[in-house]
Amino acid sequence: MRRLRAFLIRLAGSVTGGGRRERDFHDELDSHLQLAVDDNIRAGMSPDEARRAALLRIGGVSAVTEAHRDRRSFPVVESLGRDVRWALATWRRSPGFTVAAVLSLALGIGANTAIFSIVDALVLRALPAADPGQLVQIRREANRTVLSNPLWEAVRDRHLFESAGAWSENRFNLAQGGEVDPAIGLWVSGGFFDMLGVRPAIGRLISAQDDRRTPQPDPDSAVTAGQALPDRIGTPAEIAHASGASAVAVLSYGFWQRRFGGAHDVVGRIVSLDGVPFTIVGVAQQGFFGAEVGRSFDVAVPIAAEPLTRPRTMLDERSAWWLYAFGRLRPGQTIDQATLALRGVQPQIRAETLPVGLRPADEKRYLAAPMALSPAATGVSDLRRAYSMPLSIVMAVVGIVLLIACVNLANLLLARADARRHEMSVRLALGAWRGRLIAQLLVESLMLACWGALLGLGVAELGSRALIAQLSTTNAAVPLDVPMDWRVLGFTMAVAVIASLAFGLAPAWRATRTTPNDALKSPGRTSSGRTSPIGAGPVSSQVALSLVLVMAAGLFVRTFASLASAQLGFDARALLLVNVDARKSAAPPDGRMPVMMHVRDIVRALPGIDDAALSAMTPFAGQWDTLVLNPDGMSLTEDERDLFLNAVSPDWFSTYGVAVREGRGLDAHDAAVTPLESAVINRTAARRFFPSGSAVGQMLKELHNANTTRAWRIVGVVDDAVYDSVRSGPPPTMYEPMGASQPVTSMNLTLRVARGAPESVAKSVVAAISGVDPRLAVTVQPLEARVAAAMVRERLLAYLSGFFGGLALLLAALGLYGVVSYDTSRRQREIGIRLALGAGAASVIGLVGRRVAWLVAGGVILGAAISYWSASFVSTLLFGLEAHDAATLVGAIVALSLVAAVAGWIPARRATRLDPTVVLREG
Amino acid sequence: MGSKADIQQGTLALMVLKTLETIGPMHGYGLARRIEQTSGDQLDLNYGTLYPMLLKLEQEGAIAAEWGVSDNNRRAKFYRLTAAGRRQIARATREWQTTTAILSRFLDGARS
Repeated sequence: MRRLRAFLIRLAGSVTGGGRRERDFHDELDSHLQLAVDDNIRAGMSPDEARRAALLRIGGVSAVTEAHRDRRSFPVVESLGRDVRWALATWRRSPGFTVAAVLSLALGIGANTAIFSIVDALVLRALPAADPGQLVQIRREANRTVLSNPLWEAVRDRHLFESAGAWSENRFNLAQGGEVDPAIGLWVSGGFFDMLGVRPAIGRLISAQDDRRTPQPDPDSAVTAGQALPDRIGTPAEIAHASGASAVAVLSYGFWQRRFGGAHDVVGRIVSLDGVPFTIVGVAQQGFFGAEVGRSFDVAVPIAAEPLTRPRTMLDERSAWWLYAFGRLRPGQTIDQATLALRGVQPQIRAETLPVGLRPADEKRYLAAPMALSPAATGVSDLRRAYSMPLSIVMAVVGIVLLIACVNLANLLLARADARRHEMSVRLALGAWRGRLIAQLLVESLMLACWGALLGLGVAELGSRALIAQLSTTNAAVPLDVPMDWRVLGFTMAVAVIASLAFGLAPAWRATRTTPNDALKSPGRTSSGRTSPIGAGPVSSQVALSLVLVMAAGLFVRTFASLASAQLGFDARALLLVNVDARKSAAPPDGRMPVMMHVRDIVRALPGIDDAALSAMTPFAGQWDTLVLNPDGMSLTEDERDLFLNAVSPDWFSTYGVAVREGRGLDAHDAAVTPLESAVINRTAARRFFPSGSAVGQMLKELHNANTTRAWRIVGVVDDAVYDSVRSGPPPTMYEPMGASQPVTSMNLTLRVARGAPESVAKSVVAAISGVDPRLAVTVQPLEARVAAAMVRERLLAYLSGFFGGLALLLAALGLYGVVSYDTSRRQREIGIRLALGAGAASVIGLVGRRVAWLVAGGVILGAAISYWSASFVSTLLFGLEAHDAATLVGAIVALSLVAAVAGWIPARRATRLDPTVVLREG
Repeated sequence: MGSKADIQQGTLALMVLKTLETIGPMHGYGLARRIEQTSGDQLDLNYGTLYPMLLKLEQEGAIAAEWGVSDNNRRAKFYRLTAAGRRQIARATREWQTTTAILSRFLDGARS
């Protein structure tokens, strides 16, 4: 306590500066002397003698005063304060330099902070769970993370962990019919919230009681109960009773606030999910987003309630992989011990849950491949997987931008250092210690960096928000929280300190590398002949680094451009996707196909719609593929025989604008035949399976399993169209007709709009479908939005690398300009003499130009080498070009050279206008 | 006999406080003289140590200072003990006694 008090008083003394206290102590020493002199006189000394003795005894007034002063304040802090005041005064003298320095630092540091805050939120930060270090992810194989429900239940019932929980994401519809009102749902196991240590904000969370699958009285009906349900959905109570699960729901805090205004009586209310009423039992604590970083949920319901909303429950499906599972290690248990325990029971678990009908190789793999655990403190994240590589690249890019900005500042400070050498030598002559002078100059750099960091935080705040907004797509908002917390602030501080050392140390060293002797010479002229020209190395490295960034920008921009302009095989701009969810329809599943056809006909008749078609799959939304047998005379590998499938109505080809090249398209007759046998393949498939001769009339047989082998007769060949990804291009694809009596739970309708934006017809389409059956749930999305969503990563990389590449170019140009200007001003005398001797403007420009050319050439060579070396890091993110793309490199070099030429031209031009007489008289 | 004893680290504060407790408010010069006398002139006080020590005690709140007039009518800065200072004396005395007791046991033990 008293130590603290003394510390605070001293600190206050350091900051205020102690003129008054100094005088006070001076008085005190005076009075001390007086008293001593009085005593000495009393002891019989003469006044002079008395005074001398007293002074002698005190032992040096200045030493005592110094000791007292040191105790009054912290000398270090005090001198720091002086440095700060000095730096502020220096800046007031050169505001232009200060503003430029602070702004370039603000951009550099801000960009680093923005990217770091996203990296932190996405990659580094632990889950908002209790003791996240104890969490492990349960994997069915080292590289496979999703489990089937039987597998999850088998693991759970072995009680291998302190606690364990599983979840799966699901999109629910809150509306009763008509246009879908989506909510992100989680199926969660009874132990999910408990395992993560989540507390309810109000009410309670889902417990093991809620997630109980029935004790069925009749064991035979246990398996079929769930499957029998969907045809006639009863009251929730009935269903709950039948499945054993309770129809309860827990809301996320955000959803509670958004949807229910944070109402406290929300517990006990009903929320309708896919038309099934669920009773709200509580709200999860604020800030809890689930176990997947970059996702969030609105409502969580027990896994055991899954049969209530799904027509075909997956609870007993041994080959439906849909659940993620975590376990919490027991206290003292290591992940290796837990893995051993898990593998110990694995044989029984695998035998119990072996999917039926697997190919022998897959069955062997299922039984043998060891299950695994992995640390899960940071949760799981698809977003992280997709973005960790791009983020590392962008982190490197912004690091380089900051480095370039630092080199600029260092050059400017170096130029000033030369101007300050006289001041420094005077101070050295007056007895200043060199380290002290360096410290003073570093304080100045640090202050620049701190101002830059402060502004940079503002830049980062805006930047990270904008970036996350860019990450979000129409389908999936990214609810990534990037708070400005101590981690981000700490990072920013560290960057500022490192940056200030990076740009401040060399100039400080140089400014103080002078002798007191220099002070005696006339100011201004000192050592002007001796200073080496600054910064050939730094400027060249700046050019090199910006070449690397411009090259990267070129690669990413061209990647995005080729993706965006890639041939999709259809015109996405005119197509509107409509998903019709028929689960609540009154018609039985196998009687719904006619309803869907009717819906298509009604919608096609709407004004503004040219064509409409039904299909099982739509572009960029997952894949459905099958393995076919080698046609006669072919020996393709399994991978090559993987055939993408889609079931379509005959008008699909005209709607999508996919032309029939050979044979014919599908027709109504093809759809009426049972079993279905006609099919159309695309040109890629035709080339692959029937390279010699026509595909039309040929057969393709499915290799599924022993029992169900299907065969198709090819009736036509159509143009290629992208199926699932622009990157992978059009795969070999087969279109089969959509059977008239096949059971339907949900159907995709694609509309070709006559003109204008496809969204413009959305309202009338939804109204028309609701007119057919108000219980159909409808989701509308322009195909174009989906195409754009598939390229978010590439677009973001192109934007960011383009922006920072441009910034790097600008900074390098400024650096070059600054150095060349400084250089020419130092060579004024030489240039003046040349001009006086009759040299023309061209030769002066040549003089300066040669210097620029050398600087740039060195940088380009180094930059090209770095680009070549670092190419392998970006190659997986590129499309349509190689990482060593020569055209891009040449383009980058040309761009850089042009910018350098401009940056060099200005000072060169100025040099030619020098008046030799003036220069020579001054020099 | 060698030179006069140096004051051990940390003991000067206790001497200052104890002296103030005995003789009441006193200025720096008077304190120094008194400490030297009490030690039987065994101690040679360094003023470069004394004044910073007084300042330290003042910063810690153990003593308070005020300008006043000395016996022989000289203006001087007088130090007096505060309540916190009294508590500090009690604490420091206890600690010092414990230390000396332990140390003397060692010294006695070594002798026998």
